[in-house]
Amino acid sequence: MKIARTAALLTVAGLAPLAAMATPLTAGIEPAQAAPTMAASGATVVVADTSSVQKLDPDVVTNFLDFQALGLIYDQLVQYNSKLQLVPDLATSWSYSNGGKVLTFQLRHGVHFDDGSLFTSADVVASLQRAVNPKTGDASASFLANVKTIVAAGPYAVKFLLSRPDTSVLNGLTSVNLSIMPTKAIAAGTLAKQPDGTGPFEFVSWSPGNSFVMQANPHYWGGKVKIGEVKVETIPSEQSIASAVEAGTVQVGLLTQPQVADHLPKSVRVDKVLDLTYRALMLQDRKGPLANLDNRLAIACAVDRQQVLEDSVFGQGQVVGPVPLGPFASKPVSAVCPAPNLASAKRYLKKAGDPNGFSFTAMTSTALDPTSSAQATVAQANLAKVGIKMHIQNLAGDAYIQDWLKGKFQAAFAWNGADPNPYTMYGRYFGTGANLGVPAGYGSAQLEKLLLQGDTATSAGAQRATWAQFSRALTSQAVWIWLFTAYDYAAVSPTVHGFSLQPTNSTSLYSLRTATVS
Amino acid sequence: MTRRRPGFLTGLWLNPAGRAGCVLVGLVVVGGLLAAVGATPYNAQLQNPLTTLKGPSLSHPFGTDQFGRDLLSLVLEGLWVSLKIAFLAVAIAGVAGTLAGIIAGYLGRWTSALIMRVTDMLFAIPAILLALAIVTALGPGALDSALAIGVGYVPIFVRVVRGPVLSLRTAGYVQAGRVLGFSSTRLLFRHILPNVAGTVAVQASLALAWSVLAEASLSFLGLGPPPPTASLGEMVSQSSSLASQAWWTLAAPSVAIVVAVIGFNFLGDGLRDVFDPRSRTALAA
Repeated sequence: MKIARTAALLTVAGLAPLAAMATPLTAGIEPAQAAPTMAASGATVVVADTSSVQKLDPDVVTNFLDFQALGLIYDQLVQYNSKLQLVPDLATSWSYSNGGKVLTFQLRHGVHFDDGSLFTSADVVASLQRAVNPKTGDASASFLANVKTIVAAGPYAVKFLLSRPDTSVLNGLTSVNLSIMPTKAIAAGTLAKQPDGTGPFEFVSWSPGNSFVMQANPHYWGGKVKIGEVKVETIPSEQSIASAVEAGTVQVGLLTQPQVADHLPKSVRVDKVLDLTYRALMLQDRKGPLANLDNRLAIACAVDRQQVLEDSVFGQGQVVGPVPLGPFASKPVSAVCPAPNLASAKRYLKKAGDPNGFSFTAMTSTALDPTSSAQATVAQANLAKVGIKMHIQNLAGDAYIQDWLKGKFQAAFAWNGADPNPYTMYGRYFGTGANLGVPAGYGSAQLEKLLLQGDTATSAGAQRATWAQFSRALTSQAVWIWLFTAYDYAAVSPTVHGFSLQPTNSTSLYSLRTATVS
Repeated sequence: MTRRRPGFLTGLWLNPAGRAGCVLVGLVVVGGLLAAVGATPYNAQLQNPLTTLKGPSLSHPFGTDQFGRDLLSLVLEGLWVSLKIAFLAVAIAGVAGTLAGIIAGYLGRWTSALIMRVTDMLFAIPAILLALAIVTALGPGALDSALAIGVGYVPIFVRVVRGPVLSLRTAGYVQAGRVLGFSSTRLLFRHILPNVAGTVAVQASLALAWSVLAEASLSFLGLGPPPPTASLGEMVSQSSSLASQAWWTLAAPSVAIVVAVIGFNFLGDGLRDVFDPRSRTALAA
C-alpha cells in the first residue's frame, strides 16, 4: 500500500472567527511528565495561523498546521531538504538489495525520545507497524503498501521487505504521518494526548482551538536548539496576523493571501515560496449528478481556472493539473478544456441529459484555506453561465476535515498536500487499497495500473510517459477539477533569523529547528 | 393657549430624531426595493476580470470588488437581504413577545411567573450568542438567520409589553368591560393591545436596528445566507484583507450597515417621542 505523503488535505472554507470566540470545548492538555532535566533557554517564537492544531497523534493528522507543529516534535527516517532532495533524518543511510526488494536503513545512534528512552530499531518497527494497522487510521498508511514486513537487523538497522521494487517508499517516509515514536508510548496508548518524539522541540501544552506550545528539547541529537519556546497560536484573520507581526506580538505569521503579505511594512520580512500543494475542486462520484461523467466534464469546461487564480490569490501562482510542478508536471493542465469553453460545457450537459444544468453543493472552509471562499465565488459564477447551480457550504475547520475524511460531500474546495513523486501523491487516493479512497470519490483499474506502472518504471522517459498518461486519465474523467498552486507567505519579525518556508506546506516550520532570535 | 396636537406622521417629522430616522430608513428601504425589483445599476453578481478593484467612479460610484462586481449593486442587494431578514426576525420576536407579554401581564400569577422565568433565562444568554447557536444548529440561510435573530429578541418584547399591561388591566375601561361580560380575548386584543401598540412600535424599530446588526454579524462569521446571496456582513468579512489597498470594498458595506442601524435607531427615538403623551404635548405647545 502506499499513501500520499503529506497527507494534508486541508481544504477550505469555514468559521474561523467562531473558533477564536469559542471557549475550548475540552480542557487544555498539559504534559504528564516532569520537565526535562535541562531547563530550556532562549526566546519564545510565536507562530500564528488562521487554523488551529486539531490532533496530537502524528499518525492521524490531516491538517497542514498539525503537520507543521508536530513536525517540530517528531522526526522521520528520511526528510526532504529545501531542494526537495531526500536527506537523512533518523536514518543515516539506506540501500537497496535483492533486486530492489529489500531496503535497509542504518539508524542514528545516541538519540533520545522526550520521555528519556533511547531510540532503537524496535521503535521504528513499532511505529511503522502502528501506522499500517488499519485500526490506527494513519492518513499515510498507503505509503507503505508495498512493504510486506519491517524487521530489526540489530539495534540500529531495519530492513523493509518489499513486495516489489519500490523507490517511492522513501518519499512516503518523509511524512509526519510516519513519524518515529517510542515503543513504550505506543504500548501505553498515550500519543493522542502526549506527543513524544525525538525532534528539536518537546510538547508543553495544547489548548484546542487556541494554542499549541513546545519548548526546546535539551537532548536534541541535532545540536543545541536556539529557540527556547515555540507557541503556535490561532488568529482567525490573516489581516490580524499581519497586524500582530507588525506589533511584535507574533514573530512568524503564516499567510496565504498575497494582498495581506504585499501590504506589510518594510520592517517585516516576507518570505514566499511556490508551494507544491495544490487547490482542487474534488468531486464525489458516488451518487447524484456528479456520478455522470458528462456532468463532471461540463464543470471542467465551465470553470475558468485562470480567473479562479487571479481572483483568489491575485494571480500569485499558476494554474496546474494533477501533477503540479516538477519533471512530471501535467501538460496541458487538463486533457479536456484546458481553457474555459462554455460551448463544450453546454454540449456535455446536453449529452448528460441535463441541458439546463443541475445543482450540487460544494463545501469550503475559510478557516483552513482563507482563499477558498473566493475560489468558490468565482467557480459559482462560472458554472452559473451554463446553468449549473453550485451551492456553497462553508464549514468550520474540524467539521470540514471530518466530512472530508468520511466522503460526506458532493464537492469540496480542497487544499491538498503534494509530493515530488506522483505515486506518493496519488497512491493513497487512487492506488490499490488507497486509504483515502473514500474522500477521493473515484477509483478505477486504469488508474491503479498507471500508478503501479509509474512507480516501477525504471527510465526517466518511461516515467514521464506514464505520468502524462496518468494526468490525462484523471482529467479526461474529470475526477476532480485541479485549479492552481500558489505561493505560501510568511510574515517574519526582524528579530527572527534563519527562518524560511519550505516548498511543501506541511514542513513550513521546519527551519525553526535552526533559526535564531535576536 | 394650546394648539391642536399634530398627527402621527406630522409629529414624527417635526421630531428631529424622527425626521433623521425617516430620511435614513427611507434611503435604506428605497435602496433595498430597487434591488428587489432588479433596478440595480448592474447585475450584482456579474463578475468582470477587467474591472477588479476599481475605485469609485462615475460608472461605479462605490467602486468594484476583487471579482470586478459593482459594489453599489451589491450593497443594494445586501440591504434588501438585510431588511428582509430583519423585518422577519422582528415580526417573529414582536408577535411572540407581545403575545407572551400581554398574557403574562393580564393573567398574572403562575402564568406570569412561568413566562417571566423563561424570559429571564433567555435574557441570561446574549442575543447574538443565542443567534449563533441557533443558526449553527439550523444551518446558514435567510430564514434560519431570521429565526435565530428573532428568538433572541423575544424576551425584550415580553418585558416591554408586560409592564404597561399590568397597569392597563386595572384601568377603568377594562374593569368596565369585565363588568359588561367581555371575554378575556376581547379585552386583550380589542382594548389592551391597541394601547400598547405604540410601545411595541418603538421597540420594533429599535429591534430592526439590532437585527440588521445581528444579521451582519452572523454573515461576517460565515453563518449568514451563503453566496451568491449578497450580504453586507460577508462583504465586510471578505474585504477586510483588502482594506489597505482597496478601502472602498470595506467602506461601502460598512457605511450601509451604519446608515441602516442609525436610521432605525433614530426612527425608534422619534416614535417614542411621538407616542409619549408628554412629548406630544410639548410638540403641540
